[in-house]
Amino acid sequence: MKQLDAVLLGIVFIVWSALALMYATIPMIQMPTGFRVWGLGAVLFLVLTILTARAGRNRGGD
Amino acid sequence: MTERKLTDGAKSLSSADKKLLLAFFSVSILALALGGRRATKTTAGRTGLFAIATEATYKMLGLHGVTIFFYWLYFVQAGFVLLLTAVYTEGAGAVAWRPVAWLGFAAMLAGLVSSEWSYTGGTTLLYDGNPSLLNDDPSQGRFFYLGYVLLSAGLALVATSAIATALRPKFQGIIESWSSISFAAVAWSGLLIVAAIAGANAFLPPLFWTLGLRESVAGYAMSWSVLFHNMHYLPLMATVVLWYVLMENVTGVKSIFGPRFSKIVFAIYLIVVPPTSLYHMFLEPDLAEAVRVVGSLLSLFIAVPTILVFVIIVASLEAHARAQGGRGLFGWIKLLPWRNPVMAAVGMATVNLALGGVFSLVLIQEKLAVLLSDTFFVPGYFHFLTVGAVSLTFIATLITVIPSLTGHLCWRPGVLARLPYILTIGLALFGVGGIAAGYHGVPRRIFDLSYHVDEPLEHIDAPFVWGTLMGVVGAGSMLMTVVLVTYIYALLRMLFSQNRKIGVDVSDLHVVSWSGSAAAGARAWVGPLSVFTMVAAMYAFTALSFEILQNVPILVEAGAH
Repeated sequence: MKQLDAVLLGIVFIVWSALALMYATIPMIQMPTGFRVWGLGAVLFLVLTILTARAGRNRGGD
Repeated sequence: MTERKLTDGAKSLSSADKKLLLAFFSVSILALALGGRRATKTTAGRTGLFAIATEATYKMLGLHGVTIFFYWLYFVQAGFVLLLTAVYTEGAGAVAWRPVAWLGFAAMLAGLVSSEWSYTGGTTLLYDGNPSLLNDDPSQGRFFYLGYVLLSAGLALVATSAIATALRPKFQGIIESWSSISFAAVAWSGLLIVAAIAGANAFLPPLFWTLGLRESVAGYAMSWSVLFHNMHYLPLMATVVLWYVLMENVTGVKSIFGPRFSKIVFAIYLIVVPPTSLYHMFLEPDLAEAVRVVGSLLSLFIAVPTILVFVIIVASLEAHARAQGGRGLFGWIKLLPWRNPVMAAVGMATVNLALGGVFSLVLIQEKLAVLLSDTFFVPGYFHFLTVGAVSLTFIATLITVIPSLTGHLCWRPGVLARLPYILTIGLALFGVGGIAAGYHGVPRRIFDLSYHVDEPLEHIDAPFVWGTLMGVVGAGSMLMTVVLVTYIYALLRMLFSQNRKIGVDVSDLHVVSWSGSAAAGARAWVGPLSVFTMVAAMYAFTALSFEILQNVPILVEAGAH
């Protein structure tokens, strides 16, 4: 797979987003500050995914 | 001829990059020396070798945790992510955004100074920095929290530089995809930035409180738990990434499962981090029972990627060794280059990780966590991980990397190759004594164990076995100290001395060249067998823990009569 790096980072983003949402919305888990950390982490991996995907395309254009 | 990418790649870096990396590694060794000295004093005080005033022991324990857990482990990781992205990313060849990395170094160094300085005043916080202990005088914690905030900022900057290093050749169109090590280093750097976010989330509120800029802090335990989860998971991920690197460097063996599978496994590390964080909340009294059960089940996943990496490495080594004539279930292991100090260290690190892993999985089950978390069981098991697996692997990497960066010779490899075994014996004494002490109720953070109740109807002394077990812990600690002092001396010699008469060029250390020699269809049973043994041991020790702890009230009753 040509864009495996970006795909794997993208999966991390999806999982972290889902869990951040869960931590924020399910009071039983009692982890509101956990939501902030995992949510910002999800944003970080989204940025990494986009950068990696865009960078990976540069080679294809050669 | 074995391709020695780590050694050769480190040697070929520019002098500017070498200076940057050596700055990180030098401070990490300083932190290891400071933290190790305090560990020895703490254990000596705890085991009664000499008397220390109670407040001094808490300061010593706090400084030990801060210096080792936050500064030794993170200065050295910062250097490693920069090194690995520069060496293992094809077309990189140099650290990108070097000034950003230097800025990160400066912030981390300022953090170390601030943390150390905080203990010269009246601060008696342990490494978890519980702000409620400062209610009488919050200002005493200013430098403590400032140190952690600076460390967090520094880590974010260094990790950004590492990610830029890996991305640059992609943007330049030199490469299409990363090597598995580059990908792992990017994932590792990403998690370092998340840890930095968690650090800011946990420590900025108490810092502002100690500066008088806000009211007291609520919910600190939860913020700390999230940070702590990241901070103790990161070194574990770093350890297995470095096993990959080091085994390739001393045997030439790459994964027989291919780089794609390795990348997937490293991605799994990131995927299991957030859902497994729940077990840190088990001691919170208000946590719902359903969450405790789910958290217990999820916590078991934390070991999955580590076990997968272990199996990949062992199976790859076994398949190659069999192609070299290795026979018998375990006979092939003898073919590995054990005279190389790196091989010996990684070998013992896997043993220690297995031992620590078994007991950690016992502890993170919610029924046992409540009973054992405040006993000496905890330091008993986690030193297998922090010292025996993580620090030993980091030191092994430094033994390879520092001579490659300085051009000096490796100090007495014959001596260094024996140290991991002595360290493991010391750890076994410390760990077995400590775990047994925990089962018998020795408290984790109370130093004076000589309590005595002498009332008309009640005469109670601390159980005799406490003193005996803590004596075993002390003996193990002394052995570990001797080994760590020798390692630190060796690393300093490799930093500052040519070692011409007693050293060996790092390229001439004992290695084997098995690259590309794996036989098709070769048997590789030891990895899966080890995992099976580990799972069985975990089951057995969990059952044993329940048996012992169910009998505790009966023992107390019996003792009372």
